[in-house]
Amino acid sequence: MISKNKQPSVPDNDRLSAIENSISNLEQKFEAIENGYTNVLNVTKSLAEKIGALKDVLSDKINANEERSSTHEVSQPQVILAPVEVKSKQYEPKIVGFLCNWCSYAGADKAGSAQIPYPTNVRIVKVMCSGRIDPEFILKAFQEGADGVMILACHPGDCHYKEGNYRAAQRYQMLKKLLNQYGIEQDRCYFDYVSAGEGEKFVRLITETVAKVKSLGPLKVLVE
Amino acid sequence: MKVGVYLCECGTNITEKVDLDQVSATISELDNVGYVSKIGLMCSYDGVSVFEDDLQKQKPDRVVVAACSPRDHEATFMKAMTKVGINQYLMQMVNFREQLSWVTEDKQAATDKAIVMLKGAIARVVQQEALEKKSITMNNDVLIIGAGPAGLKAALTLAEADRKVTIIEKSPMIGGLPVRYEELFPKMECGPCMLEPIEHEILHGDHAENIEIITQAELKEVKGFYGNFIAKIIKAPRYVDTEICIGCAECVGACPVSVKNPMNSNMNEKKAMDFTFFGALPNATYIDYEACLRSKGESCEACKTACPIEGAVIFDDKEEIIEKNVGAILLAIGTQLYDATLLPNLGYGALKDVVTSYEFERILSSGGPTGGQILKSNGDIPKSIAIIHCVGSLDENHKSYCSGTCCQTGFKFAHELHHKVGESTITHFYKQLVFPGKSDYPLYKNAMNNSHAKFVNYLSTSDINVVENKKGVKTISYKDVSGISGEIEADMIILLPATIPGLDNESLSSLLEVNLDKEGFFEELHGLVDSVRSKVKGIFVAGSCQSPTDIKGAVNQGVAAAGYMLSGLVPGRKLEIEPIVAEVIEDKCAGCHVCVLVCPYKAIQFNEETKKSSINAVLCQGCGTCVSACPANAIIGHHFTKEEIYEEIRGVLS
Repeated sequence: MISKNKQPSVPDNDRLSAIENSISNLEQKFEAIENGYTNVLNVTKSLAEKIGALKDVLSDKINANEERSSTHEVSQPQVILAPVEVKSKQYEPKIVGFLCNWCSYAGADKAGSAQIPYPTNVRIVKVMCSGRIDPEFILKAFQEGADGVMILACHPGDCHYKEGNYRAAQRYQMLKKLLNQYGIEQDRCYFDYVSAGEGEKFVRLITETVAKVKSLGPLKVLVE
Repeated sequence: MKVGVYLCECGTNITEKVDLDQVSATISELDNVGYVSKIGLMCSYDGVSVFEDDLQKQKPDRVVVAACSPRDHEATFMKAMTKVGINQYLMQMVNFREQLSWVTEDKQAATDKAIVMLKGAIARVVQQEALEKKSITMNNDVLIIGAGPAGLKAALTLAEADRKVTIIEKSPMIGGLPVRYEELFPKMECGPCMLEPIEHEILHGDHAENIEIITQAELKEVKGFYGNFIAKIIKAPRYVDTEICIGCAECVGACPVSVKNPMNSNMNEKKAMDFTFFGALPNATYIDYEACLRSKGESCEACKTACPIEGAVIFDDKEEIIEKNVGAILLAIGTQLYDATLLPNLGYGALKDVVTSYEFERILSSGGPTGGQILKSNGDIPKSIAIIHCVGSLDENHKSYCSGTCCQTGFKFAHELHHKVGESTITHFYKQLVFPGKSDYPLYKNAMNNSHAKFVNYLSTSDINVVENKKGVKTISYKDVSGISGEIEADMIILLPATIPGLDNESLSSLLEVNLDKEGFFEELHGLVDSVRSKVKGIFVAGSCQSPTDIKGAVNQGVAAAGYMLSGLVPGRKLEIEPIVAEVIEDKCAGCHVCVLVCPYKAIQFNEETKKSSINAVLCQGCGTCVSACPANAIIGHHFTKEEIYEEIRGVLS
């Protein structure tokens, strides 16, 4: 038990000098922190300068590469891994979204009516049914410079044309394997079901896919 | 090529988030773009007329409209184009509102995306072709399969609108199942009394000349498609001319052969020359040829000799093949009961006086084996009756669904028993009781209020066991839902089996390529808003062959199907064929059949002679599944061609 009203039996002078000591200790520590901060600042500055120099070197190399590849003639389609352009502003991936007319496109419209904002990266290509989405379309999109592709179909059992969405799902499974062989990460091609009422799900999928493709970075350029 | 680009401001809905001036300036520079016009509110009356005037003035080769969702106003702008003489399929819409201005916060980002979206549409529209709607003549006649309440009411509705209707019925009589029931729930109306006026209307009413009834007939083959079906019907010989037979029954008395009567579930006998039951319509007898002595080589002519009408009995009647050209087909072939012998612990088929609901209906019927008296097989009046509901229903091992009508049937039986047998005890065994709607409750209340009635709620049919002692007394031992076991004695047990798809659902499904659902019922286009259309255009479904239903539900579906037929098959009107369909390029077709397999509408035929596929534009719904499936790129998906989509992809990524 702690008894009340019991004061420490230290004389007033002693207490004063103890406080003075601790203040000078604190002052010393503060000074050390300040010195450290200046050091960090200097290091950062020099690093930034080095990065700038590297950027210049890199962009020179890119230009040289581009010139080479544009003059390079190929008879057969060939995949060349070209260095990626480093832009000073934040990288914004290009994503093509293949949507069916009846469910997923209507789901996108629903998100619109609800005015839920989402990133502008996805460019929508509408088809009547997800069954029309030829795997070639996806390859074409990657070839034309897409960093990602989304295929959104009606939920199982909801297809306006009975079973087109099942075909789309089957083709997607096959396509994923093919993309691997092309060296395209599977995460760049996303398949899901969105109903006409699922505006919020549409926004979530768009947002997640954009973030995922962003983290993957630009697609290694395919050159024919 | 001159592409005209129209940018709708949609009030401020689009301009608030998209800098249309910047969009216009960038887009004007693109190849093929002839001009860019801004319109304040394009879908308004004024907006549309500005659009039309501008189209007339500018005469563009292609049009791009950036406005709201095409789901809102594509049709509006297509109509405007048609009005000024530009093919409506030469237009592409860009969804600036729902998929851009309403979902983007940053104006510059929205403007950039707007330009990208337009680039895609402009690239695509350049590839688009002028498509024309084709039209073909339609046959307005209708074929109805099944002469139960659903088929009959549909036929009357159509005939009253001067459509020619052919009804084919497998049995020698019309009226389906309810005409065989003495009383109908919920109001205990007599079955024949309710149906005979309808049947008379069909046979002799003001519009009877529009209706042809072919009994003892079955569908053999169907070719063609909506508006143009050719149906081949096989009619078995009746050996009696229904047109001149007066239904006097002289022949029945004369016939020397008696056989089991299937109409009464073999509970009594009938003659080889007989009615299906007295009062059945058409009011004419028929010869059960397998039973007739003439089929065994004998020269019996007893019926013909007894017949007072010259030529009414036709011994050399032959099977006939009848061909009918019709525009639409209604399937209303009814239902049957689940086989109760599959639940052997209930004793059906092994023990006497364990009967199904159909058999008890016939026992109740004045035309039935006991003349309407409720009697056991030994002729005694039953003193204790058990009614077992939900036989085979709500059971994953049998039928998982609730048939919805058996409760009312059971309560109807309880009502009849109370009135005809008096003080008999009635025990209802049930899993669930249902009595929805405005008329079903009273019969339940009546059954509950019967002081001689007892209700036992059971969980599974395996909890009920029926045994019979040497004296013929049946004992039902049971366990109820709370696990309490009990035993009762019963003189008679009535089973209420699940109603299941009609006997011919399967054969008609393969003949007409109409899908069956997992329970075997005809699958409807949509369970809530389109339960009378099958997924094959022009083939309709009604009544309990589509889903278990009562008479009201069946008749409503039949009449609804007639409504669809009346609005679809209009004399003088042609069938418009949507041009957004798939088409096979014969030269490229390798004959691999893949398209035939993937088409959900059976719209693709394979010609065995040319070894090529061809697509029926009437049946094709334009989904494009076959287009993507074709390994030879031999199918064009009009308005969604590979070239159009490729250009759009290229455009949005440029």
